[in-house]
Amino acid sequence: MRKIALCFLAAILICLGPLALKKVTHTPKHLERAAYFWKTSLYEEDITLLKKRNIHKLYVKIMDISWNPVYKAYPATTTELFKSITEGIEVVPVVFITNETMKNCTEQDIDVLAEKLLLKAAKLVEKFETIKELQIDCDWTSSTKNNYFKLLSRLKAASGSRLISATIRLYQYKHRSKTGVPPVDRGMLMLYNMGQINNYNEHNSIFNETEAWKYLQGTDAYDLPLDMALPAFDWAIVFEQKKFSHIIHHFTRQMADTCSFLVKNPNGYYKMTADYWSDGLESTLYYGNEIRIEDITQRDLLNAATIAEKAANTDHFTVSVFEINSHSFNQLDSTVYEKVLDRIK
Amino acid sequence: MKKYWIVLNSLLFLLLPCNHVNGCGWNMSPEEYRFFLLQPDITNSNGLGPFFYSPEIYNAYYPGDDRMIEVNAKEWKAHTHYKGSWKEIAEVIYTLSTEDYLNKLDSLKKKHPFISHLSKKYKPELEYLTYARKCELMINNTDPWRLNNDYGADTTLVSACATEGLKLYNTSGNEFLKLRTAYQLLKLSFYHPGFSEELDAIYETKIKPLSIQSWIKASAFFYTIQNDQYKLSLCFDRSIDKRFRCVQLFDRKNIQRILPFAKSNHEKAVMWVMYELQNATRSLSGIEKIYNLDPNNKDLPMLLSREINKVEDWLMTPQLTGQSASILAYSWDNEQTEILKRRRLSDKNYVHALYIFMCKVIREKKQDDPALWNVLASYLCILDGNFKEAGNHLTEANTFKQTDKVTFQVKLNQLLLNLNSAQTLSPELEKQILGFCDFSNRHPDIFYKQDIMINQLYLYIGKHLIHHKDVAKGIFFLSKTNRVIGTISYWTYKTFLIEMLEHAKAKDYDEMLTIIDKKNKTPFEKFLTTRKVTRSDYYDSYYYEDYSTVSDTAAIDKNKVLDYKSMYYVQQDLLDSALLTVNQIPSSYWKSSPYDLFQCFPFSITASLDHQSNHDFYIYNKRQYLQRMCDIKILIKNNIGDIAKHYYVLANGYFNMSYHGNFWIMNMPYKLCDEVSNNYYDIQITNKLLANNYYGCQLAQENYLNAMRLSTDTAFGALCAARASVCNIHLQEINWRANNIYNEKDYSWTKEFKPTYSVFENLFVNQFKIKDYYQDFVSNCYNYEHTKSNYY
Repeated sequence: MRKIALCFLAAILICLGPLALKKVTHTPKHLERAAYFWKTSLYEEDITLLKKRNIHKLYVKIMDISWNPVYKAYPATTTELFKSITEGIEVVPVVFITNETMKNCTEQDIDVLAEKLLLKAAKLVEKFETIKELQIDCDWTSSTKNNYFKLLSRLKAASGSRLISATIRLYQYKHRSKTGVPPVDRGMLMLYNMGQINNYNEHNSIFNETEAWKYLQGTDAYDLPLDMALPAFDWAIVFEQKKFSHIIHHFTRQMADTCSFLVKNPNGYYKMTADYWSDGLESTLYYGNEIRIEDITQRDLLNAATIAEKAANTDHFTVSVFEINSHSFNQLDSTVYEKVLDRIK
Repeated sequence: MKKYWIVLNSLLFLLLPCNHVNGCGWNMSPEEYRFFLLQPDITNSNGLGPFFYSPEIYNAYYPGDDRMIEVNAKEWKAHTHYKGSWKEIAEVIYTLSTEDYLNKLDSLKKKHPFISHLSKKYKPELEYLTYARKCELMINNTDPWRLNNDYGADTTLVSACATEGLKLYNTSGNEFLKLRTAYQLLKLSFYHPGFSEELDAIYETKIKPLSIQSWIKASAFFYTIQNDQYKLSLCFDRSIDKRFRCVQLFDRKNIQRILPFAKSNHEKAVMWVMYELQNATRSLSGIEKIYNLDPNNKDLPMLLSREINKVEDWLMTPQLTGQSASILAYSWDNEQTEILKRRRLSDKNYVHALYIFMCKVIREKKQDDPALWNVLASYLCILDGNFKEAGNHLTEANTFKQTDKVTFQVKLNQLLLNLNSAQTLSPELEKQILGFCDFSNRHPDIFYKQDIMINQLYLYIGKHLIHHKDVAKGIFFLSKTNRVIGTISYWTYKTFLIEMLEHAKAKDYDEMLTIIDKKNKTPFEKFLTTRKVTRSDYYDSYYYEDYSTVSDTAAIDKNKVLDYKSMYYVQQDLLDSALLTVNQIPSSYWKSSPYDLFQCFPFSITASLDHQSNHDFYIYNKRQYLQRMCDIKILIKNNIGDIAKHYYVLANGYFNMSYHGNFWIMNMPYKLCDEVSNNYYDIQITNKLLANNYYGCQLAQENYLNAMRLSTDTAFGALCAARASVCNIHLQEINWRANNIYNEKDYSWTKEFKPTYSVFENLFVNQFKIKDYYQDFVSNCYNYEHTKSNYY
């Protein structure tokens, strides 16, 4: 009897073995390379840079929707996209909407916003009818999810076959029971901006591997096919008497190291030794100001890729880097970039 | 071969000293160098700030219609019985951005005292304020979505705003709110016609019939004018916030057609005021007309002070800054520009004519504020050099009640008067200067741009003292001002250090050094030797110093004074004295800017007209340079060693400290990179010694010839003759500059420069009795370089 039982067990193992093996065998994923463009004017040079990296998909912010009591929801900034510039690139227009807007909109306002948003997008993007996907970016919360999701539903209903995607921040990913899952076709998981930028003691608010993992711990696969957005940008945070003052873009660690008016503190912050102003900085830096440079190292990017691999819930998705107009992206070595993609695969 | 040599030299001619830029960049705006000490806002002519005299069409330094802010806030204060300051009300109405107001209204109700007051006791008034903010957005903005491919308004929003306004007007329980709501409707209709009633209808039915008195009524009238020139003059006369715009729209050229509409002499005078506010040339005849028509005209003092500012510019700006009168830098309309060009601006007769008119006004006592008129008259007398009358007017001014501004100007006039009377500084005058500056520091907001006035005063005193031979103290004053103190070329301005080099003698340097070194300085000496550097100095001044090294309170650097004193000696060829001077400067000084740019060996010369070098193997600083020059002279004097060679090295040293050498800063700080070859720099040819040695290399030439004379070596002799000939080309050039002028119309010199080369070839041939050798030598670069390398 014991023999029979063993034979039966062996037969089961033989039958189920391939299945079990199949489960653990790594299936290569199909990744689509993409990047974000978050400035107001897109030029041919930007597209050339993309093509050099073999990137053929570009998420471009075309509108910032803000709120004021008179205009209600209105486009505070817009970017026009011309086909001649984006030739050979799949463009995904992105509309950023402030959470304040979602907080203040009535149901009627949502209807108006959905209608105007699509009309405006069609005006800004040449041959909008050929666009396959429209992405909405909003830092929604549990209190604004109803309005936001209504807007997304209206957009989806009005968009026909065009995909509607939404960005998903890490806390929205983790606390999905409160913030909900947006009613769209795809989500873009943003693996950055996870720290408190205005906190003097924050090390790097753009990316922190330990913090990132915390958001993924104990979570199931997201109920929406996810694409991945990885950080490749940098900025400098200016503190005045340890209080957040403002952000400077295009001010890199290399520049800080060679500035005669900066000394590096033991904590890694740079301290102003004189007042300084320049067009490039677009602001005045005063004696005593401290500057925290936040950037993404190759190691950070690889770590973010590991997390992305863990969060991926389909075999076919887009991996986008944010964003092409940054020093970090320009410095991104093609070998490293390939390694990043390999790690996600 | 000679041709190639010339071409080579022509190319090398381009290698002029370009290392350290003194102060070169965009042309300065004429307003930045215009001189004035009569403060234009002395007359309290609010709303006319942009028409204060300026070389530009509008004076951007003074605000326009800001009096309305206070008036309106005070009307609100009275209506709402608010116990706080009117400034808190002004903050809500004018300072808070519309976005902030609308988005943060709930929190403002708790935090802001005035809004809190309204939300508790004056809800309709708060509702109106919110409505006014919405109107502001409607009026100033187009449809943000722009879905119709135009820049029009969002018709739905504008229409809703007009309806809301009408409802608010009808439900308003008091005229204060009715007037203001109607005013918003009027503006809405003006900027977006068609959504509410016509402009005239709103004004006639909703504004005019109200009995309430407010600044708004005259302001509202403006929106109904529609380019009616007569109405414009009425609005100019009555409103407080639309005066600037009315003058802007006034058709000056057609005044004779507009005048017949005037119903009284007062109205005619108002038209002439508007006419003269657009006049950049002499306005006295217009001012006299205004006075005759309307002796008590409220804008007459402003027009008079504007006229004095013109005279200051025409007379004083060229004298103090080296620029032409600032008004000439800007194109007004063609007619006025032509008048300005034709007329001799610096005509003192005009000053006198103005003064005669002012005396008449004072005598007839038809204008208010006699203190103001007397202080204006006293200032004019100071400009005219009539110090006795200036004093009389000041005495007279002090017998009347004065505004703070008049009192301040009285103090300034008194100071100028005492300075001009005494010419040099007495202890009393020093005390008065200190007192005045202290008063200004303690009351920094009496005038709108008081810091400009103080800097102008430093400039004035500095130039005055230099003119009266108190150069040391004059330079200290110039070091304290951030105004233009002199002009090198169109776009390059003098520093006080260059002024010092141009004016100071050894005793002046010594006096400055004594004051700098003095341990127990008097308060006045402390004042002289410190300079407060403001943030504006840092970022937009024409003060050409390295501000990264300047602390908040900068003093004249002792080493700089010593350095410039050494230049003064070098210019006189007093090298021993220069050496003694630089010996007092620490070595570290020579490692800092601009000397970090002079990494040169100054005793060698290449085969070129100019010799520029840097990053040489043997680097000399000024002290070492002078030491070697003096040592060589001693060797020559005592006949020690190879005297011909000594002369040659000495000549190289002299050449390199000339404008054409690699160490020109021995003689002169940086001015321009092309001061000899360009056609705009006024080279100081009057100082013959400096011109001949610095630009003309005469001392170098003499020493090359001495070297040749004492040599028996043919190659060396040819080298010396060639170098002396090069120096002579520079001497020819400077003489040519002295005898020719550049004609800007033809873009040419009266006579082109055609140098004679190889001037000393014959001298060489006579001494060495060899024909053709010289030409072979100078045309053979290898021979030339090889030979000269053996001699330093």
